[in-house]
Amino acid sequence: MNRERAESHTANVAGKIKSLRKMSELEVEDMITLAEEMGRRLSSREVDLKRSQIRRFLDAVKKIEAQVKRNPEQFSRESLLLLKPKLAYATGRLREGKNNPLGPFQEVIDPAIDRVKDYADFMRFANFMESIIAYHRFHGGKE
Amino acid sequence: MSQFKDLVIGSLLHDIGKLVQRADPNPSSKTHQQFGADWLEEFDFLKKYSAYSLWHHTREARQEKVPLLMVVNAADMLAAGERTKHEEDAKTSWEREIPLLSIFSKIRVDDGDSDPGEASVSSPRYYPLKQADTVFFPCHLHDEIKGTREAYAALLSGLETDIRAIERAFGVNTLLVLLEKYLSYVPGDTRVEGGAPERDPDISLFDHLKLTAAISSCLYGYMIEKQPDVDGWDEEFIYDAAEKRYIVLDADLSGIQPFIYNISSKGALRSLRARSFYLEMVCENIANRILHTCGLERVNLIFSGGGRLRLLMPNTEKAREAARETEKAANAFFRDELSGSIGLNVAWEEFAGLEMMRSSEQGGESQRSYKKVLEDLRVKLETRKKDRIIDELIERRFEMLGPFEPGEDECRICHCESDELEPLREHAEGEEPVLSCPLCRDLYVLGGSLRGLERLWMSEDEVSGYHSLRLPFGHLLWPKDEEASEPEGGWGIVLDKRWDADSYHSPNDYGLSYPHYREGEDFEDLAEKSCGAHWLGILRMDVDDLGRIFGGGIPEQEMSFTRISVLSRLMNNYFREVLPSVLRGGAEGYENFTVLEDTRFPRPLEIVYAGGDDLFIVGAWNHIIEAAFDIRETFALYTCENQGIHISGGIVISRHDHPLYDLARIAEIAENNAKSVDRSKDRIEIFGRTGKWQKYSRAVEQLLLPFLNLGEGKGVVKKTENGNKHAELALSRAFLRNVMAIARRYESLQRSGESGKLAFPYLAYTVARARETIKKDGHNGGELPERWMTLERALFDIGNYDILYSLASWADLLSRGGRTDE
Repeated sequence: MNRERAESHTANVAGKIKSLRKMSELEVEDMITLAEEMGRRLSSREVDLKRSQIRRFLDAVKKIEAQVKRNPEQFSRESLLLLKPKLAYATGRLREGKNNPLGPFQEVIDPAIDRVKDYADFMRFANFMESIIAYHRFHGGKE
Repeated sequence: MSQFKDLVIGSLLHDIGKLVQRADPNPSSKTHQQFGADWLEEFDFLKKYSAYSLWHHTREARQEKVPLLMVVNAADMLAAGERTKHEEDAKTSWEREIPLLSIFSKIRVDDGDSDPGEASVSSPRYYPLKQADTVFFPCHLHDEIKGTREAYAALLSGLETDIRAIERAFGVNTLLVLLEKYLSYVPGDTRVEGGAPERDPDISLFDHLKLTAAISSCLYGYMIEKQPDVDGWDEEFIYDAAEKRYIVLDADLSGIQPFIYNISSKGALRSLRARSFYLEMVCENIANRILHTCGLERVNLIFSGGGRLRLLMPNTEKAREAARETEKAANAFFRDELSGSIGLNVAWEEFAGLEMMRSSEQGGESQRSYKKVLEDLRVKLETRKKDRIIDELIERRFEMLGPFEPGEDECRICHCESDELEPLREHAEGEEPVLSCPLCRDLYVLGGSLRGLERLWMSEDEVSGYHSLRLPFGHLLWPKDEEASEPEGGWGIVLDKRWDADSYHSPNDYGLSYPHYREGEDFEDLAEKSCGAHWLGILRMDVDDLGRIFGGGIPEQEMSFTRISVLSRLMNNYFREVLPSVLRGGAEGYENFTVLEDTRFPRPLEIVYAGGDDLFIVGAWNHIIEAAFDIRETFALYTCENQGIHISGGIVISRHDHPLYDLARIAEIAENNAKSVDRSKDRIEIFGRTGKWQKYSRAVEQLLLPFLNLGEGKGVVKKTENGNKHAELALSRAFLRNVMAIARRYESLQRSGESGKLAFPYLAYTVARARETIKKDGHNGGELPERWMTLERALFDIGNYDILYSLASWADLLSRGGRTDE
C-alpha cells in the first residue's frame, strides 16, 4: 500500500467520524469496518504502531469504562476529555520527522472523543478503541 | 389343522410360485401358479396348500368353485388393489430383473414451500435381492441389484432349508418369519407391459402375502358369522367388496412416559430398560389377546411399537367384543397392578373392501379412501381416550377419594405405596438397602437378563422356581432360562435369534423384532466410557410430520391399505432393525460418524426405547452426539434421501446422578425446540443450541475438528495416568474458552437487540494470539495450516453463531481430564 493511499484511508475514517453528531450514531457494522481499517493501517509497515505505544491510553479508557459501567448516570465527559492532551503529548514524543506511529491514531481518536456526549456515546467510543487495538493485533501489529 | 388355519397358510403361500419361477432357468415353461404348486408338492407337510397356489387366480378359482380358493382370490385382489385391472391382461408378461422399488422413493411431502407435486426424491432407489437378516440401504439402480436368476435361486434354497428345519414347529407364526426373512426384498409383482415395466413394483412379496392372508382371514371370519356353511358361499357373496366387512383397530397405551421415566436413580438403567421392554411385552400381550379371542392369527397384526398397535379384523360381533373385553381387562390389570399409571384405549373403524384401494377410480362418491378411514379412526381413538377416563372416574369415585390405608411405605424406585417392600438387590454391609415393590424388583431382575436374551415365553401357568412377570389377562412372562423346560400352553417369543429357523420350537412361537442394545451396567458406567468429561448423554428423536407422510405422502391414485401398511412396517423397521446395527458400527455401506481417531464400537450406549417413529437412547455423552448424526444419516439413506422425510432430536448432557425423570423432561424440551424453530424441522439441539443437521455437520468439519487437530484426520485421544481418555486440543484451552465467551457474548448481544458483531473485535484479538502461537510452534514451517484457515473463516461467519457455543463446548468436554467436577 503506498503512503498516500494509506493516509487517505485514515483521513477517510476520520472523515466518517467527523460526519457524526454523536458516537452512538455509529452503527456497529460500520464501527467494525472502520476499526478494522484503522487496525490494518496502524499495523502496516509504514506506520508500525506498537501496542505498548498506546497501552497507557487504552488503560485509561478501560478505567473510565469500569467506573461508568457501575454507575452509568455518573458519567461525565471531563475525564475523557483529559485524554486528549495525554494523547497529544504521547504523539508529540514519538514524532520523528515525517514518521509518527501515533499520528493516524490521534487523527481518528480526537474527533471521536469530541463526539462523546453521554454514556451511550462513551460505550460506543470504548468499543471502537478496543476494536482498533484488536484488529491492530489481528493484522500483525506488534506488542 | 383347522379349515381357518389352512386358509391363512394357503394365503401366505399362494404366490410362492413367483419366487420359484424367477429362480428357474426356464421360467416361461410354466405359470407362477404351477411353479408354486409343484414346489409345495415337494414337501409332505405343504402338499395340501398346492391348490392355493394353483387356483388363486380369478378364472381358475371361480371355475373350480372352491369357496376357500375364491376367498384367497378375493383377498389377493384387495391386497394388490393397484394391479387388479392388469391381472388378466394377456398382453402383460413378467420380467425377472426388475428390483423392488423403495416405497420411500414414492413419498411426496408438501412442506408448504416447494411446488405442490414436486418430487421429494431426486431419483428412485431400489433394494437388492437380499435376506432381511442383513442391514443395508436402498440404492440407485445398477446392474448388480437387478434380479438375477442366481440371486433368486439363493433365496429359494435358503427358504427351502429353513422350511425343512422348521417342519416340526410349522405354523402361521413360524412361516411368517421365514417369509419375512426371504421375501422382504423380493418384488411382489414384476409385470411388464409391452416390454417396459408399467410401474416399478414397490410392494414386496412378503407384504403382499401377509396382507392377503390378513384379508382372507377377515373375509372368512365375517362370512362364517353370516353364513356358517362354507359350501353355501357363492361367488356373489365372496366377492362383495362394498359391504363393510373389515375393522381397522388402533390401540394405544397412555401414561407410558411417566411409567418409564418417573423412577429414582437407584438401579435406574436396568429398571429403565426393563420398564420400556415390559411395556412392549404388555402391548404384544394385548395384541395376542385380541387376536386369540376372536380366533385370528398374527398375520392380522399390522403394526406394533411405541405403545401403539394396529390390527386388521373382521367386522364381526366377536371381534368387537374381543376389543371391548380386552380393553376392560387390561385396564383392570393396570389399576390393580400398576396403580392405574397406564391405561389402554381401543377404537376401531369399520370399512369396506373397496376402501382398501385407491379412491379415485373404484367407487362412487360415498366411498372413502383408506386415508380417510384412518382419519376417522384417529378421531375415534382421541374421543375414546377422553371417554375412558370419565368412565374410570365414575366407576372408581369412592375408591379414589379414599380413605387410604395409613402406614404403607413407598417404593424407592417407582414411589408407589406398597406393603411388600423388600431390598432391590444384595447390599453391602453398612449400605442403605433400596426398598422396592415386587414389580420393581421383578423388573430389575428382567433388566439384568435382557442382554443377549434370546427367548422369552408367555404362559398362563406358574412354574415354580422360575422368575416370571405378571402381564394382563393372567398371563406370565418368562425370560428364558437355559435350563428351564417351557410350560405347556404358552408360546415362545424369539428375540435375538428370530431369523434362525432352529430357534423355533413350536408352531405358536413367533419372532419379535426388538432392538436389543446394551453396552453398560449403569449410568455411571456409561458416563465413564465417555471421552473427556465423564458425563451422560440422553437422546430423544422422532420423525418429523409423521401424519403428513402417512396422510398425504403416498400419491392419491396409489393410496391403498397395502401401501400404508407397508410404510408403517418399514418405518418401524428402521428403529427396530437398522438402528441397533448402526450403533454397533455394522451397517452395510455406511461409515459411522466419528470425530475421534479411535472411536470404539459398539458404542457405549443403551437403547431404552426405539420403535414406531421415535427413540430414546442414553449413553456416554460423546457417543450420544455422534450416534445422533449416525441416526440422521442412516435414516436419510433408509428413506431414499427423500427431502420430505426427516427426523429431529434433542440431546441433554448431564451428570450421571441427575434425576432421570428430569433428564427425560429436558431432553423432550430440547427435542421440541428442534421441532419448533421452523416448519421444515430437520434439526438437532445440542448443548441448548438448535441447528439444521447439515449445518451442524458442516460445523463439525469447519470448527470442531480444527479445535481438536490442525493437521489431517480426526481428534487425537490421549490416556491420562489414571486411564481416563481425553482428546488433545489443537490449541490452548484458553483459546477455546475465549471462543466460548465470544459465542455467548454474541448471543447475549443479539438477545438484547444489539448487533452480535460487537463481539468480533474480541474474536480478531483471540484469533491473532492463536496465530502467533501456531507460528511460534512452527507447525507447517511457519505457514498457517489449511485447517486453521478454515477455522478462521468459520469463526468470522455469523451464520455459525447460533451453534458456535455448542461446537466449542463439545471440544471443551472432549478435552477435559476425565473428572466431572472440572
